[in-house]
Amino acid sequence: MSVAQTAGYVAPRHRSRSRWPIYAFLPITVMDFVLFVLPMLIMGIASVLVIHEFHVEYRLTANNYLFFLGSPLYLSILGKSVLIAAVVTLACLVIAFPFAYYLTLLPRHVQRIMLILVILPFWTSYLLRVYAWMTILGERGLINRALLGLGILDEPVRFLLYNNYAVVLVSVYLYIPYCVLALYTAIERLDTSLFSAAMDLGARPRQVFLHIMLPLTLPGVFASFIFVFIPMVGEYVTPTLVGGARGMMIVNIVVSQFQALRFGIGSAMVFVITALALCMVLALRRMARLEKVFGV
Amino acid sequence: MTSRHEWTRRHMLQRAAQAGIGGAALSTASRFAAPAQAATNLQGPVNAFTWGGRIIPTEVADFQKETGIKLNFVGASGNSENLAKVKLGGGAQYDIVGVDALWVPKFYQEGVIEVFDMASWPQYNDMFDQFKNMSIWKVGDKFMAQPWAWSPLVLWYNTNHIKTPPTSIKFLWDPALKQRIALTRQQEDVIAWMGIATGAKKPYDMTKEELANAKDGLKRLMPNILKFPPQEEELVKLMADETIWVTALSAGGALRIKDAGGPLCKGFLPPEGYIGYFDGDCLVKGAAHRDAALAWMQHRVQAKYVMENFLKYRRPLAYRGPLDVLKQEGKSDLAHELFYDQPDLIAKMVVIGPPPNLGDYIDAFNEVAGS
Repeated sequence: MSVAQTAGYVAPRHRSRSRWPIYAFLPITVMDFVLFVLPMLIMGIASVLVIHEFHVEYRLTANNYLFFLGSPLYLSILGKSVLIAAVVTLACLVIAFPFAYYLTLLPRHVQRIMLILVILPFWTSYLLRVYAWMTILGERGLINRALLGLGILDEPVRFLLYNNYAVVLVSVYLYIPYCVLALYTAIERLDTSLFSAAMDLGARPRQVFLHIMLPLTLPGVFASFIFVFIPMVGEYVTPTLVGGARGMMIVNIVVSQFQALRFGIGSAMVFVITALALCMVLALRRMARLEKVFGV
Repeated sequence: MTSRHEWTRRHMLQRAAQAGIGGAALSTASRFAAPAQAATNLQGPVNAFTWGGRIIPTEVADFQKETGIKLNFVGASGNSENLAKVKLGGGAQYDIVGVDALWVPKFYQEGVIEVFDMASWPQYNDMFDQFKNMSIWKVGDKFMAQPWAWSPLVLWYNTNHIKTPPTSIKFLWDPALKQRIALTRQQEDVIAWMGIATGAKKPYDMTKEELANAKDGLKRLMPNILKFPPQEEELVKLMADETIWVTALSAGGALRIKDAGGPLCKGFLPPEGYIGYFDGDCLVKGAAHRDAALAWMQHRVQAKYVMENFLKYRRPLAYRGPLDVLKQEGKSDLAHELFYDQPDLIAKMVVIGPPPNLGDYIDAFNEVAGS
């Protein structure tokens, strides 16, 4: 025991340490409450009240939810949004997984450089990156110019942009860094001797991947899902810019309801989407048995 | 810059003298200096929540120099959104709000703007009669909004690909235009265009049957629509790189497309009717900087700024001053091309406004574009 400790310096240090988590969590808690919980609370209330433009009648109604849930069109757009989000998430995982794995095998200094390259797109604005894709995929974009220049095409192709495929392609590009970082963190912690042990016992590479590697990296997969799928369901900018005339996703519909001054219906839609995202996270958590993986 | 200032003032005085109101001109000239004299008592800054592409740096810098008051510009994106924001923020947050045509009475009914007296302003006489007598914007002699820009929405077409000038709005449905049309994502305006094409009497106040016809028109038009971008700038870009061949833009569309490196485009006002707008700046009720806001509104309609604004943004404005100067400078063609010398068109336009059944319009659009 040091002189300082015997002189009674330990107790105050312990006190400040015990308080520290409160201060550390305070900003994020306040931010979360003001920017998420409070607006959701207001929208939750708005979604069950009768509202005609700006005039609120203080009586409860389920009509706002019934309007949304009773509309085959809006439900199909919600379904389409979920499907596109699922495709983007899956594509990101398929591309990011091998990349993240081989990244962990590289020497440390190369890994650092590669990770910088992965996050490099974040140095430019999100909007700029979407516009960059528009100049690549457009009728007079880089791809068409190259194909015309090489004599492969006689006239530019138009299916590269302004459709759901373009939405998926651009979204995969936008979200893949999140996926790589989440998976890299999970894979880097793996004890690779487990793979050797499994192989020594006769497991094929596919079996090693499915029965050892994938279960152990589920936290990374789960984190990727949260980082990609959930924002993708609520994606607004990319479908608006690179989606075609029929490229509406559910958030476009929500925005249109608020533009029509239908605050009750818009709020109900937001609540349903949030509830859906929450349910999917919980379902995935249960399916993946993360408690087991995390050891809790 | 200096020469333009001198020239503008000189011509304004000349015009006043020609009209035999030299005395009034002197009075006007003295009133021009009024904002500067009154400056010391004004409280700022002026928070202007209004449309982009309507404020020029010179007028803002001069206003600050003369009054010491700063102008904070906040870009507006849509009338209904503006209404919601002003309703929430009120006069504490905004002093001025930019509003379109028939939305102005709606803002007034909702109690978010207040009327003000413009007849005593020096520039009042410079306003086109169509705006002076705009009964829907007036309560007694007072105005709900200070008129600013106006324009019909013209159907611009690429002359490289459309050789025969269209004669009817029906040309939009030509199969040769597959995925070659884009319109801004203003759902009610798209439906109103369809209403015009399908013969609705009041395209912004359609009956259920008319709305069903308009929806059907949009459904049939969808193969020709490439996309509904949120901003006009994207339409200009798409026209410039010839991704699309037809769009609806305000006056000066062809010039904007040409400036963006695009092809020669021509405008077409369909005989069946066409949408148009006029907009204005409204004084937010209970504005924290009311007097400064009114001083700014008076400041910006000085002939020199109106002229500079017209040349920069190439849109007809509510004040005729620059029109006379353009004629004297031999730029009548430009004024004509931009409809500036045709204020009679205002009465012929199907004016943008909030349909009483706005939700039905939005649903009709979503049902077609979302299916």
